Amino acid sequence: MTPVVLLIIGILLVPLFDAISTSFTNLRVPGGEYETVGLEQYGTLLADPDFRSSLGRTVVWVLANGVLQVLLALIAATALNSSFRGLNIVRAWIILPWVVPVAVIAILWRWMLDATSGGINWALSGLGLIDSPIVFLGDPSNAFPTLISMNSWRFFPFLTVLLLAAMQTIPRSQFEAASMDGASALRQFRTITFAHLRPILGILGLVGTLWAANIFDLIWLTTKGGPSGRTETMPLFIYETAFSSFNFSLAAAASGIFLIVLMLIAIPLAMNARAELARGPVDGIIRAARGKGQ
Amino acid sequence: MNEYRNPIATSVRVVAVLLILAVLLLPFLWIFVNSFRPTMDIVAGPEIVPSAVTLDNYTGLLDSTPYWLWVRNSSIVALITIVFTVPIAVLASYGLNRCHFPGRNQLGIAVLAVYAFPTTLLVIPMFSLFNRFGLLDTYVGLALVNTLLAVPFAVWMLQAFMRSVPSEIEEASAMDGHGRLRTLFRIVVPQVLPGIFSVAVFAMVVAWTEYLFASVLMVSDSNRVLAVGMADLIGQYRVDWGRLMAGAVMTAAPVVLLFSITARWFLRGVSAGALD
Amino acid sequence: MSTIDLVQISKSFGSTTVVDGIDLAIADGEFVVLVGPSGCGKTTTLRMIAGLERPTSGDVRIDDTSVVELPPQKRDLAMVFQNYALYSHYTVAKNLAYPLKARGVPKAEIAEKVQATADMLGLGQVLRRRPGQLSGGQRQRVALGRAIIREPLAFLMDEPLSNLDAALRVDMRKEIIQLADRLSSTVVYVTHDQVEAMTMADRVVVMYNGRIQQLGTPEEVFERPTNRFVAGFIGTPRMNFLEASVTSDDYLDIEGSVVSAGGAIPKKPGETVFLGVRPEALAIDPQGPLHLTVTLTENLGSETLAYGQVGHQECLLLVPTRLAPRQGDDIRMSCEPVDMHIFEPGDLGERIAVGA
Repeated sequence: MTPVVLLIIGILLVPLFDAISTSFTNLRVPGGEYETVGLEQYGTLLADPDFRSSLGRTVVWVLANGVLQVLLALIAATALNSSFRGLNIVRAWIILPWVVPVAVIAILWRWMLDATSGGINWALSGLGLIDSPIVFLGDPSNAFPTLISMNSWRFFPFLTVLLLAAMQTIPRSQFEAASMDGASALRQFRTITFAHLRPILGILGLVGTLWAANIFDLIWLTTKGGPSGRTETMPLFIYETAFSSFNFSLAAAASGIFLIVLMLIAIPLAMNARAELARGPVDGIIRAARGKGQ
Repeated sequence: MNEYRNPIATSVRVVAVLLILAVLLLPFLWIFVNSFRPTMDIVAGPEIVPSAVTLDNYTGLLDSTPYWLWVRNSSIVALITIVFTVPIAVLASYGLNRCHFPGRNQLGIAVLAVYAFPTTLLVIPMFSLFNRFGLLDTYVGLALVNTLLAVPFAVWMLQAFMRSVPSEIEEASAMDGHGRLRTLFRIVVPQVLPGIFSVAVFAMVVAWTEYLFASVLMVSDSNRVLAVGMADLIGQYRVDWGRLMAGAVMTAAPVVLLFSITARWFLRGVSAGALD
Repeated sequence: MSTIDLVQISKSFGSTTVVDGIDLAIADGEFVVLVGPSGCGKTTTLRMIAGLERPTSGDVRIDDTSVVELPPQKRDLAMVFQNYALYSHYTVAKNLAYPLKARGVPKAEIAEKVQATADMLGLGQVLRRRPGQLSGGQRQRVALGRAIIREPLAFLMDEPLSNLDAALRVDMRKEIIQLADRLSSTVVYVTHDQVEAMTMADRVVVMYNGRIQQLGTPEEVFERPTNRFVAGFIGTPRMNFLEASVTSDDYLDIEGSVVSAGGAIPKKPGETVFLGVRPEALAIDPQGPLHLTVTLTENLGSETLAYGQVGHQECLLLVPTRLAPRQGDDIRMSCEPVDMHIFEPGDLGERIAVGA
């Protein structure tokens, strides 16, 4: 079993090293000729305003997605956290956006957000909320927030399910005790529910962030980075540099910088998650779950 | 707390749940309905009840694209992905749980760090790597990548399950004379079956929905998977909404079908995995 | 401290009735124990007093005011749960402080009270620890402390000692009683252990099948059980029940052993009744009316339990070890009429009053 784990790490690390070493060259296409140029590619990138704005945009993308998804998941999980008939069916089907291939999502939202024949504009004007249709994906200032929303829409239900599961393992007796102690529902949420959820929120924050950072397909299939490059995040930048501009080494360098930035975000999150896990609450949850006989 | 529920709070909750359901599921319903309308109607604007219904979108799509070939390819890749992912995840999570080596706890979380690696970065070297080993344009090759994408989360999910299996059961098995591997298969695996199911479903979804690597690694037309095939159509049918909608429905259908069958197990597995 | 009244309380879950028309009046400062086997409805009754369950019908009153419409937060009662229900993510100090914070008590006062309560319960050293780091007994005391700290109208306890080991249980029993005394508290205590009931209660409420079988002091339920269930439930070792038929001259015929009931039995000759007599009330008597064939003896130290048969019926005898019979012996026993209880047939067979 340890060899297996090592195998995976191997599959991961080999291409990684390959890419990193490529970044120190001026290779244009795989199999082409090249020479080692040290940090030249990195320098080019850091000087490139497009790169910098893409990087910055990606940071915004990651944070916005992370925050939005966790918030939505928290609200949804709270709303769903009561046993009612059909709860399990609801729980299963809310994940639908995550289950279907990206192409479906792309088509769905491109149509929904369309200025002329789209459902959203139709509904909004039908309700009398707008006078003229809003251009979502075509408008340079609207496109990015729209994509953030789309992506959050796609992923938050998955987080919701995880959060909901964690919520439902908090021993009911703690809430009963709190009721006896005079705590209002709000206080109980703050002091018991939220406190017990912190470890898993930490994990969700970490995983959600990393997954969001690497999102390529959704953006590519809806806006291809436009309009005017306003939705171009790092994955797209890297892809285009490699496959459109045919500059693999530059792309590799971009990936290197991206990786570093991601690590800078991920490591504190991971340490926070570990710290939360090391504390008390999880023991209680696990013990309670064992008690419930799963 | 349930017995004396505040009626206002209850109705707020009901509204919230309905809202969530509507926001998440209505769009799909809408697409489904619209896929049966002729493109001209769709362009004109949405209607609550379609005035004209047609199957042209579907027939047109089935005629002009190798849909069933794509479905077949996706299925094969998904199957292989599951076959790879499940044992690896089981072994890895079991090992992480039972074997005590330094850095064990760190590795538990670090497993998720795999997701930090920019996938777009890996595409290029993967391409040449697979090319060198003859894995390019093969089902197995793509399945390997999918496995790589699925395993970290799968391991994390399964870890909690492994933890909840009391060590006494394994000790009893050892007393009965079973070796480590036998114990794993005969005793531990049945205990964590819900978790294994959910890992399988997770792997399945990853395989069916993956786009980036599928588009780069599956070079030939005959090996293309559904996710990529349909995505290419988007560029092709710019505003032929009817075709696009039908395409969306047809792309979603296989996964949704599979998911509806397995959702229950998946839920149970994910729920337990979240105990961490 | 307050009075608690239950007026015709019932609780049904769907078609199952768990509590069936309970009337109970608890006086100020009284220590009342609800005791009975699992499923008898005692915990549900307690939870209805607390407000954690809503009665299907009936009224709950505290100090003559109906509280049945109020949620638990507003009832000012404190509950100690069977598994303590401590806030696992908070320190002991924060656990104790929680009820006070919920009521908006000023910080300084909270700190004072937490310290005082902790000292009273011997928790001074563990204030900074988490429940997960405490022993069972300590957790128990934190649960108690959390209940005491806000000086509620009454205490409700749901089998608080059942998760402790035997020795600890005995100690905690004493502590709880002393605490209740010191605070002059009204306590409603639920347990399935009749020893706890007998040693702690001012009054015992024996429950079965959702109904009160008998309500009285420990002495009353022990000496004068109202029906067979109460007689069999209270007292260790369990009372013997021997099936007998009534003879024409007010004797009981137990498969050949004929015993005087010590008075007139209001039953026709030939009718079946059950004779109840406690193992410790039986004495070995060579002239005694009851024949016992001893099948097994258990030496408990100063006393010995002898298992045997009267006719075909099982019977237990508890005697000082020096007088104990041996396995296989045939002996004769007698008992005082005052120790004989005669019951109607059936699990809930009522006690039959024997005329003078």
